[in-house]
Amino acid sequence: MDEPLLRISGVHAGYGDVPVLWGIDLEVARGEIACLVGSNGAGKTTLMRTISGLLAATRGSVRFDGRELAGAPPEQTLASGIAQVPEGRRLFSAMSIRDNLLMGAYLRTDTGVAADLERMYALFPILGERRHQHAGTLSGGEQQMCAIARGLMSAPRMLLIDELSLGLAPAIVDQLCDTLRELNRAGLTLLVVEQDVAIALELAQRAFVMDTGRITRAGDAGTLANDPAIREAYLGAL
Amino acid sequence: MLTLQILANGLVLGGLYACIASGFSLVWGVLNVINILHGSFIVLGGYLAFYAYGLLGIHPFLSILIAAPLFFALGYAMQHTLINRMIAAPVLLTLTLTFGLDLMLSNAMLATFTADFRKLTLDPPLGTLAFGTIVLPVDRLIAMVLALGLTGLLYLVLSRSRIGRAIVAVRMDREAAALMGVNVKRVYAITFGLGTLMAGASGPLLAMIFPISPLTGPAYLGKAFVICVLGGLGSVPGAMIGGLALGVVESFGSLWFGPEHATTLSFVLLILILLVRPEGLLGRKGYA
Repeated sequence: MDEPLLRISGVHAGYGDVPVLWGIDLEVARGEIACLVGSNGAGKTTLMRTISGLLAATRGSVRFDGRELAGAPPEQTLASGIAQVPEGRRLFSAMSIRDNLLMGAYLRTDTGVAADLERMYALFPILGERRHQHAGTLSGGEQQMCAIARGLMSAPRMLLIDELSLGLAPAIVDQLCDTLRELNRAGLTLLVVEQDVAIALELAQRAFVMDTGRITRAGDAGTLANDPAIREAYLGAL
Repeated sequence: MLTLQILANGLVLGGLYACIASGFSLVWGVLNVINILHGSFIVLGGYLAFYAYGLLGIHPFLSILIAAPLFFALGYAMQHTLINRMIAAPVLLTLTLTFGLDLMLSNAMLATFTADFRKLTLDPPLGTLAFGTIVLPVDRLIAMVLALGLTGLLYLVLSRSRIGRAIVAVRMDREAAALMGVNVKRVYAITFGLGTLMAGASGPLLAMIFPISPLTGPAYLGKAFVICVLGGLGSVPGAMIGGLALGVVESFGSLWFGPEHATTLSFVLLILILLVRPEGLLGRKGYA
């Protein structure tokens, strides 16, 4: 098998003197949808921040497409092809939707930005209709669409989404999952952090379970979904 | 008729105030740094115009073109080498840093230029223009137009350009901006450079109206403060509205209570606004 697109090995990270991640190993293959599940405070967001370079790993390696990214600043991570949709979406709320999307393309110097804007408006028509409105006027689901589109505007090879479904209506989540599958079929690799384990295991091919700063289970999403221990702990199985 | 004349004087003054405040407000809003140096930068810009005119014969309005790149470079270098080191510190510490730098700059200017008040007088003078019963000196009128033009230009840069979007994005959410690939420290340096540029470029304009002396720096700084609170922090439209409002209030204040109370009135206004509408007349929304 090829080298995975993203290979994280032995990553430690934390805030000040407080360690949060204790030797994370995680691999995502090219063209795959992977999910990272776990309870609140497990360290999922800390891992996302470490991958994107907002937080520096104290130990370990983050390799993307054969290049070492541990210790790289966020702009270098983005330039090498990893975009992130942060937890809480973090849109520039008093900027127009169009300007939010253009911020996503901030590092791009190619001429395809205008065409990609139109692609995003086609992918999420509501964004096209409201392109001149402030992003803060969008509903929660629409904001998530805008955040995903903003991430896509950097033309990434891999998209990290931190908390896809949090606070959103089930119908919207279904719609977003369909869109993500569509993007995945077109070649995008995805790593989705998700608190709702049922949604995550249905969307992803590979899954990682995280608890207190460690990866406790990893494997095929379908297998994990049928695992009695997972069903009991996260799915409320009968 | 007198009322109209006072209103016109106030608007001329207000245009200049808007220009002073927009750079100060930008730096405060984006970097969360209260730049005590701002007043001294304005004075330094005034001296640049004074000597460029006196020694080289360069018209004060043209000396803005010299001041702009020089002051941008000065501000960029200052942020890059000094202030960025403490940018994560509480606002009181960066205030102390710019306060210390201001002491050095204003004392250096006192040593170099002395405390004498100098007046930039155009020779030949540009005369006056009459609109009905309102009479305005042409040099002041041009100064106001240029001041509003500069402020408008700053607004266009912030709302329409790539770097402007990055500055606004950093102001709204520094981390999210970093995730978009924005080098935040570089944006800080550019922002401080722009703020310094606005101060340095408004120096020659103010020198057309007010005498130049290192002692006037704190007065300009005080005005910038009041305008920021009046209009709302970190926004160019806020600085524009706040500046014009302060100019008009000061003009009528001088008429009704005597010129010696104009500044008192502006600070009374500051206190009232803080009590009634602490987010400023326009609030803190939209483009910087």
